[in-house]
Amino acid sequence: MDILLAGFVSGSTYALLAVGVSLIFGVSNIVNFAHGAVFAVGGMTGWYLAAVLGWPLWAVLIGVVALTSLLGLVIYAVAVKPLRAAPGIAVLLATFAVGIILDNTSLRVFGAETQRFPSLLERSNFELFGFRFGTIALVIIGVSISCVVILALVLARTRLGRAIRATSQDIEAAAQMGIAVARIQALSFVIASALGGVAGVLVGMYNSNVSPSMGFTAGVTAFAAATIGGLGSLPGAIAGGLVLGVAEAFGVAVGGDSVRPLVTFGALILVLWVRPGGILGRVPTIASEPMTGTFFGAGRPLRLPPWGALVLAGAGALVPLVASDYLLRTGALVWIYALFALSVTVAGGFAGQIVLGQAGALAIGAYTSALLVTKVGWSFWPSFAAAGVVSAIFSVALTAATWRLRGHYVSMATLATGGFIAALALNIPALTNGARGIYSIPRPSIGGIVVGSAWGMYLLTFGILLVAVALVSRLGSSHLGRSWSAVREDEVAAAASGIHASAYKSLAFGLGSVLAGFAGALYSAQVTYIEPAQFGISLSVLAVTIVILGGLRAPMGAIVGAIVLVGIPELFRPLADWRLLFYGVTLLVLVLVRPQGLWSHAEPVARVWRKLTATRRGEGVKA
Amino acid sequence: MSSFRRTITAGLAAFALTASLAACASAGAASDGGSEPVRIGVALPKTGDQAQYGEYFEQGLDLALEQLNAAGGIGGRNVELVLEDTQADPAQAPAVAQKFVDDPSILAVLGDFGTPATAAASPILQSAGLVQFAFSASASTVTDPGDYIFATWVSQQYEAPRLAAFAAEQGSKAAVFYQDTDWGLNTHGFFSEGAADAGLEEVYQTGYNPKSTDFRPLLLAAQAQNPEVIVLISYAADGALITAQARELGIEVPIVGISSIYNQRFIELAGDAAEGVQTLSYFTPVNPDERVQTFIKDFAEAYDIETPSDYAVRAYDALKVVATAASAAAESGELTRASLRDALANGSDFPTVLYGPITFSETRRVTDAEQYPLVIRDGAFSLRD
Repeated sequence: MDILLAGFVSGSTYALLAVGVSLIFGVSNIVNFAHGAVFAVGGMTGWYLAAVLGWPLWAVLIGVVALTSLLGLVIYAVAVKPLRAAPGIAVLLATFAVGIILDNTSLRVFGAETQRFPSLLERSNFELFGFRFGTIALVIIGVSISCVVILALVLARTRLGRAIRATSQDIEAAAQMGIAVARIQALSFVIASALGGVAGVLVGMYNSNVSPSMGFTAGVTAFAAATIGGLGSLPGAIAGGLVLGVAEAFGVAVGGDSVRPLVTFGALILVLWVRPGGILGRVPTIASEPMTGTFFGAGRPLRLPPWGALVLAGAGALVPLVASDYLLRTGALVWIYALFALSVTVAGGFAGQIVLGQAGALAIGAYTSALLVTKVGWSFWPSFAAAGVVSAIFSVALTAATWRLRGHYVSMATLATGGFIAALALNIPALTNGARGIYSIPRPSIGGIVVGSAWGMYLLTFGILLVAVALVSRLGSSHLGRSWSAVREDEVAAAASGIHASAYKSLAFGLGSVLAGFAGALYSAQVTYIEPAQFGISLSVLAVTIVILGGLRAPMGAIVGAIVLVGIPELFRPLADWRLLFYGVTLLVLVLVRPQGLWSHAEPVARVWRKLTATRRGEGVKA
Repeated sequence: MSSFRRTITAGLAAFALTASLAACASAGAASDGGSEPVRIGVALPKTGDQAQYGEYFEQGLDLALEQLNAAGGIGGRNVELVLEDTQADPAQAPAVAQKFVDDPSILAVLGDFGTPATAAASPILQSAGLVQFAFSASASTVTDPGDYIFATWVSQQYEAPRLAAFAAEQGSKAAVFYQDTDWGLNTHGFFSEGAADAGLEEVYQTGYNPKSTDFRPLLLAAQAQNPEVIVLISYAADGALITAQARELGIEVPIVGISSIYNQRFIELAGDAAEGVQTLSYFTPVNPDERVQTFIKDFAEAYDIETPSDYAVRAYDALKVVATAASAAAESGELTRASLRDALANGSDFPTVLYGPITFSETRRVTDAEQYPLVIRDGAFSLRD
C-alpha cells in the first residue's frame, strides 16, 4: 500500500510533465523533445531563486513561470515556426537540438553539480497506510489535476478553446476559418512550457535535489507517459503518468532500481502494440503524416560520378599518411558512426520509415561481438558476422507488430524498442555483466596480426564502410529499392499495386539492423568498453540526425553527416564545457538551413555541382 | 584503371610517406632535448556529475606541482600536467587513455576518479606500456589488468569488511544500498563476507543506479524488513539523496557509509538529514602527525581552505610518489615509461601524507591502513569519541 502511494506521487510528477507533451502534440502534432530541458531549467532556476536569492515560494513560482513561458515562445519561434512546412521529423530534431542547447546553457550558468533544493513546503508531515509524505506531494497531485480541469474548461467553454480544438483537428481547415493557427500553436508552447517549469520546481522540492542534467530522462518518461495515456489527450496524460509511476514503483520495489527503464519502455511498447492510441486516446484518423512527398523531393541526392567516388575513397585511404594518431582514432569512430547511420538510410531514406531506436540494434551488435570474443573465445570476424545476424533477428522480432503503424507512431515504437534493448542489457547481468559493462574487449586481428594501431583501425573501418556504401547504393537502385520507394512515396498506392507494405518496411529495418549490428561489433572493438548507458536514446537520435543532415536518400549522406556531427565535435573536446553546446547549435542551424540534407540538390549548391560534374554526367551512378 | 592513374597514386603515396616520416623524425629529435618538461597526464572529471571530485584533484595536484617545480623538478626538468576531462565516464575514459598513449611526450597517467572509469582505461594503458597511477579507485580488481597499473587506495578487500564490523556496532540487521557499478558490486561482495564474520545480517540489499532521483520504492521495501542500520556503499551525491529521502519517509535507524561519502558535499546535499551519519576515513585533519599538519598548513596558505578534502590529499600524494620514482629513474639512467614503472615497483618508502611512507606490494597496491571513525555533527565531519 505504501509503495502504491509512493508510485502514485511519483506518477503525478510524470503526469505534470506529460500534460505539457500531450498539449503540444494535440495542438501542433509535434513531439517536443525540448520539454524535459525546459523542466530542468525550471528546476535549476527555482533552486537559484529559492536557495541563492532566498525568494519565497510564490515568488519563485512566478519567476520560473515567467522564464519558462518565455522559453516556450522562443522554442516555438526558433525551432517550430520556421519548419511549419517541413515534416514532423525535422521539427522533432530541431526541438531535440534546442533541448541540448538549453541543457548545456543551464550547465554553464548553474554549474554541473547536483544542488539541494530547499524545502519550501513540508516534505514529510502526513502519514497514510504507513507511507510518510508531505504537503508537496499533495500540491503536485493538485496542480496536475487542476491544470487538466482548467484546460478542459478553457477548451470546452471559450472561443480560444474552440480555436485550439479546431486547430488540433485540422490545421488547414482551421486556418481557412480565420483562426490564427500560428498564434494558437505558440500559445500551446507557452502554456506547456510554463507547466514544465512549475513541474521542475515541484519535482525538485519533492526529490530535494535538482541537477541541470535531470531533464532528459524526465522528458523521455513524460513522453512515454503521454503516449501510454494517449497522445493529445490531457486526461490520458494524467492516467498515463499515474499508471507508469505505480508500475515503476512496484517494479523497482520488487526487482531493484535497474528495472525502472525496463518498465518504462516495456509499457510503452506494449501500449503501442496493443492500443497505439493509448489508454484514453483514439487512434488518429488522419494516419498519414507529411513524412513523404515534398520533403524527400527537395532532398534528391547529388549524384557522384564513379571517378569522384574513386578520388574520395583514395583520399580517405591516404589520410593515415598525414594525420596524427588522435585524428585517426577519431576518424575510425566517424566511419563507425557512418556505418551505423547507414542503417537509417536504408530504413528511412529508402523505405521512408523514420526509426528512432537504432541504438538498440547497435547495442545488440556490440554485445554479441564483445561476448563472443571475450567469453566464448571466438575471433573477431565470426563475431562480426554474428553481430549483424543477431541484431537483425532481434530487431525484426521486437518490431514485428510495429509496421502496421505509420509516421510518428513508427518513430515512437522504434524509440521504445531501442530503449527496451538497452534496459534489457542492464537487467540480465548474468549475460551482459549489467551496469558494470564489459571491459578489455580485444581489437580485431587479420591473419593473426592484431589491428590495434590507430591507422590499422582507421583503414579497417574505412574499408568496411566503403563495402557497405557500395552495397547499399546497389540496393537503392535495385528492384527492391524501387519497391521501397513505392512504399515511401505512397503506401496506399503501393498496397494497391500489390506491394505488401509492412513486409517491405520490416525488411528495410532488418537490413538496416544488419549494418547497425556490424557497426556495433566495430564499435566494441574500437572503444574496448561497453555498458548499457552508452546505447541511450541520444545515440539513436544521433543516427537519424546524421542521415537527415547528410542527406537521407544517399549513402554518401551518412558519411557527410558523420564527419560533421561526430568528427568535428570530437575535435572540440579540449573545449569540454562548450562541446555539447556547439553540437546543439550546429544541429539547430543545419535543421533550419538545410532540412533536406547537405548531400542533396538545392540551388545554388546543385548549380556548382553540375558544372563540376557536367562532362561526366552521362555515366554517373547513384552513390 | 589506367597505368597513368596508378603511377600518380603511387607517387602521391610515396610523397606523403616521406613527408610523414620526416615529421616523425623531427618530432623525435625535439623530445631528446634535456630541458623539455616532464609531462604527466591526468584523467579526471572536470565536468559532469563528478566535477566536484575533479576540483579536489586539481587542488592537490597544483599544490604538489608548485612544490615540485620549486624544488627543481624531476632530474632538473620542469614538470607539466596535461589534464583531460573524462567526466569519470567509463565510455569516455578509453578515448582519453588512447590520446595519452598516442602522445609520446606523456610519461605516466594519473587517475581517473572511481573504479569504473579507471578500469575502462587500464587495458589500453597496460598494453601500451604506460603507467596508470590510480589514486582514487578502490575495487580489489583495479590492478589486475597488469604490471603497469598501480593503486594507492586500500583495496575494498580490507575496507569493506571493516565497514561491516563498524555497522554491526549499530545493530545486527542491516539494509544495504550499493551502487550498481563495478565498484559497488565488488565492495558489496567483500562487505557481505565481513558481515558474516561480524554477525551482521543483511535483511535487505539492493543495487541502485547512482543517477536515480527517487529512492522511495527501494527505501520502503527496505523498511518492510525492519533493519536496525542502513549501510551506504555510495558516493557523496547519491548517498546524500538516499539519506535525505530515508529520513523524510520516517526511517530513523542509524546510517553508516563507506569512506567515499567523506565529503562536504554529502552534508550540503542531505541537509539536516546528514546529522548523525557515520563513516570511516583514512584521513582526518586532526591527526597530530607532523606530515599531516604541514600539509594542512601549506594547503590553507594556497587555497584558504581549512580542511582539505580526502581527494585533494590523495591527488597530492599521487603526483609526489610518481615524481619521487621518476627522479630515481632519471638518476639511475634514462627516464622512460618503462623505467618509471620499474622505479615504482622496485622503490620503497615513498613519502605520502595520507599513509606515511608506502611501498607497493606484489599486486602494486598499498596494503591495509588505519581508518578513523567519523560522525557528522553540526554540519561537519568530526572524530567520533
